[in-house]
Parts: sequence; C-alpha cells; structure tokens
Amino acid sequence: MEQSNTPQPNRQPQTNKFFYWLKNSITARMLMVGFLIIVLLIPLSYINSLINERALRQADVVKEINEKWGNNVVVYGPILKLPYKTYSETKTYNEKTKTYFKETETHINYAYIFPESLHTDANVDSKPLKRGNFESAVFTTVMDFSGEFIPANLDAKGIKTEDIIWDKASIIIKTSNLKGIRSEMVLKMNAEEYSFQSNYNNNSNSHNRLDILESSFIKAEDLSDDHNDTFNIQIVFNGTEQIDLIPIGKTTTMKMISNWADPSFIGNYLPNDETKEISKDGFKADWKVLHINRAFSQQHLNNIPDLREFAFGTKFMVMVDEYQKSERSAKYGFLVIALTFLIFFLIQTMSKIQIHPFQYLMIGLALTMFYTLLVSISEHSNFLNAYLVAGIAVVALITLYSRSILKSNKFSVLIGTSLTALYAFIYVIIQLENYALLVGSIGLFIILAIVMFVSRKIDWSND
Amino acid sequence: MLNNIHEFGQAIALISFVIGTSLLSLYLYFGEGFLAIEFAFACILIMVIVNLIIFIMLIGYGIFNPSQRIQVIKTCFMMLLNIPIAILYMYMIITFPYYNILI
Repeated sequence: MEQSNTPQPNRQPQTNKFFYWLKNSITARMLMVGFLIIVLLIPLSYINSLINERALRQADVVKEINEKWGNNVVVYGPILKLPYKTYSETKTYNEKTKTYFKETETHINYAYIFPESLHTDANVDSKPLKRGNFESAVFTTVMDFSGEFIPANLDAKGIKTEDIIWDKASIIIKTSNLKGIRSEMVLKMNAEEYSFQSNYNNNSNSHNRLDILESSFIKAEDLSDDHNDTFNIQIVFNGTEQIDLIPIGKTTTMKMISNWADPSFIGNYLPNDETKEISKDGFKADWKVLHINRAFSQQHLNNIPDLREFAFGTKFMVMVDEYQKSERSAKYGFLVIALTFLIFFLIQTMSKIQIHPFQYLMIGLALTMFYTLLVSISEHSNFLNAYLVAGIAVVALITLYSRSILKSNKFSVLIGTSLTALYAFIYVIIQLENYALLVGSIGLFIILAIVMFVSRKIDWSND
Repeated sequence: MLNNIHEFGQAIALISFVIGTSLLSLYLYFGEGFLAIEFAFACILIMVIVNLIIFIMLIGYGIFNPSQRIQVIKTCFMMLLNIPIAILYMYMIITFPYYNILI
C-alpha cells in the first residue's frame, strides 16, 4: 500500500536489472541455452552408464555361457613322454673298516619328444547360443591330428638307449579345454589303439593353465625299433572365442574349415594367403610352420616347456555388438542436443517467439530419451530397427511439441526435417569405419555453413 | 549498494547454482580426467564463502530495515535452496555408477 502511493515509473527494470537482462538479452538467452545443454549432460551421463552396465551384464552372461559350453581351445601335443634312468653315486667313508662305501642311486626322469610331422584338420561348426536377451557365438570343432615320431635317440642329451624305459612310454596332449571335449579320445599308433586319461594338474591356481591328457603305455616294441611311428587321433571340442595350435611338429600344418564368416587369424603365423578363402558362408585357411620358424628344439628333458607364445590359430570374432553401437551413438548425444537447441534458438531469435527454458528442457529430455529407447529396443531387435523406432518416436514427439509451442507448421516441419537429417547423419557416422571422420567433418562443415547463412541477419546488438 | 542487495543475493544464488550444476554435469559426463575433483571442491568452497558473506549481510540488512524483511527472507530462502541442491549433487556423485571407468 505504501509503495503504490509513491510513483516509481522505472522501478521494475532498475531493481531487477539482472533478471530483466536475463529475460530480454540475446546473450543471456544464449548463456541459458548453453547452461541447459550442460545440464542435459547429467541424464546423458546416466544413459552412458546404463549402456555400459548392460554391456557388462552381457559380457557376464556370455562368459557364463562360454564357461558352460567350453573355453577357448588350445592344443599342445601329442608329445611322446619317455622315462629314462639316471644314476647318482655317493661315497661314504667308514671309520671302522677304513674303506669307502659306494652307493648308487637310480632316478627316473622324463624326456619329452615332439613329433617329426604334425598335421591337423579342423572342421569348425559355429552357432549362436542364446540366454535371455543375450547371445554368444560358440562352436564345435572336430580336430584330426596325424603325423609321425621318428625313432627316439637321446644320445645328444647324454642318455644311453639302454637307460630308456621303453615299456613305460606314453603320449601326452595338453589342452585348455578339458571340459569341452565331446568324444572319447583314442590314439591310434601304428596298429595299436590307446585310450587317454586326464592327470591332475597341481598348477590349478593359474587361470591359463593347460590340463594334461595322458595315454596308456605305448607298446615298447613299436617305439624301440628303427621305424617311424605314425599316429592318428581325433578330438571333438565344444569351444568359444578361439582355436590355437602350438606348432610342435618339425613340420606342422593345419587346415581349418568353418561356417564362421568373420575370422581373425591370430598368433605368430598367418595362414597361406593364396589358399585362404573368406566369404559370408565361412572360411578356409591352411598354415604351414617349419621347425626353423620357431625357436625351440624337438626334445626336452624333465619338463614340458610353456610354448603358448608360439601358438597360432583363429579367433572367432564377434562383430561390433548392439551396445557398442548404442554407446557410439550416445557419444554424439551432446552434439545432437546442441544442434537441436541451436535450431530452436535461431527460430526464437529470428521470429521473436518466446521459448521458455522449461520448454527447452523438455525438448532436451526428449532427445536424451532417444538413447534409452535405442538401448532397450536393441536388446530385442537389431540395431537398425531400434534406431528407426527410437528416432521416429523422438522426432515425432519434438515436431508435435514444437508445433504447439511455436504455433507454426513451417517451423515444426523445419525442426522435424532437421532432426531427421541429424539422426540420419549420426547413423551414417556410426556405420562407417574408415570414412567416419571424413563424413563427420564434411557434415559439420555443412551444418556450420547453414547456421552462418541463416544467422547472418540477426541483430546481435540487442543486449 | 544496499538497495540492490536483494538483486545481488539472488544473482549470487543463481550463479552458484549454475556453477555447481555445470561442475556436476562436466564431472559426471567427462570424469575426473577432464575436471579434477579438487578444483570442483575449491570452487564450491569459494561459493560457500561468498554466499555466507552475502547471507550475513542480508540478515544484517533485514534486522536494520524491518520494511524489507519479507524481501530479505525471500532472498535468503533462494540462497538457502542451494544447500539441499548441493546435498543432492553430492549424493549423485557418491552413487553414480562409474561403469565407464570400470570398462
């Protein structure tokens, strides 16, 4: 009442000068839009976290499926295990008899002999395995190993032939995937057949350990004669991720045939480039590794060396999954929000239509909702369908909302078209690998040119 | 100066809110590699001190100007509103699932 009696014509702009500036200045409006873009980074951060959390969960489920189906397949063998005797002498002086007492102790050691030739034929049948929303690629491989051992001669190692215990020799195969073996293993050596049993590996703490399979004793007559000993063994594995072979043959060859369309050849040795075939129906590859290609010998005493660094094979690579694509598209969320707000800001500045910060916030939240829709739909459909559904939903929502706040069909069509072009642009960038930077740079250049052209007549001095 | 203390208090409250929210957004989105938490806490400390000084000045102004008390209370309320907002932001930082860092 007291204030109404005193005339103060310019009081409002003077006392609330800061807020008056906030409401009417173009600069303040720009700052406000900028602040809202920064605020919308909060939901974007949570969406990024959500995508990563779902991807981690997928990785856990895939790991669980893989563990139950069978691990990656590493085969190290067959290796001939030959026991041999060594002797040690100890002399003891007897005080009473004044003589030396000589005691000879016999020790049993083992020599491990690699084959002269090792040929492997691997036929890999891959298939997807589903659990809930998640899927893992698994395979069943039939691996045929054949080759020959030359007559064992350990003279070079200082071991006499008569010290070798021929009737206690066996064949060892080491593998990372005991659980995945799906057939009874029978070794055919010369004319005889031998079965395998697994040995307890006391190095069980090691995550990457190789378990040992050992055959029954090989017929002594076969090994001690002067003829080469041929062998043949078939192993059927259920496995995941990759197949590796350690090239222990003096000449090692491997042929692999699979229905897997996206192999990645890994390890120290690549397959023959001239015979390699990769198509959408599968691949064929063959390798040949000679003893001079790797730095280890054919005979080892006392223990089997860890030669996994020499392994070669194929990784059954899963191509970029839906979460990776969603994560990549969410990385452009900042750009999408900023460019959409820029369109609204330009419309507001040029047409003098008032857009409240709350309306900007609603539009921004609709833009962030795109990513949650994308992630959730892509869990049940492919990425393209999810992108289309989420994109159409968000573009339609913002177009209709802008029609009601701008009260103009022309502007709402402009916004709808711009958003459609923007989402299409982002989709193209996500899909491209080699040209993403080029297309992205050209796209941003065109956007900048359009903004410069449209904003050239704005009176920026209205501060 | 004192005639504009309401406006000044409200502007400080608004600027504090804007700076605090921006720091939170940038920290959550880009992580500590982009914005060191020590820097964010230093900014918050400076804002707390500035707000406290203005708040005390406002209280003093309200005591000596009974006719302006309602306006002073409104401005003080606006300034105090930043406290629950700050607590909420702190809670968001503590409970934010940093899966992106884990990956």
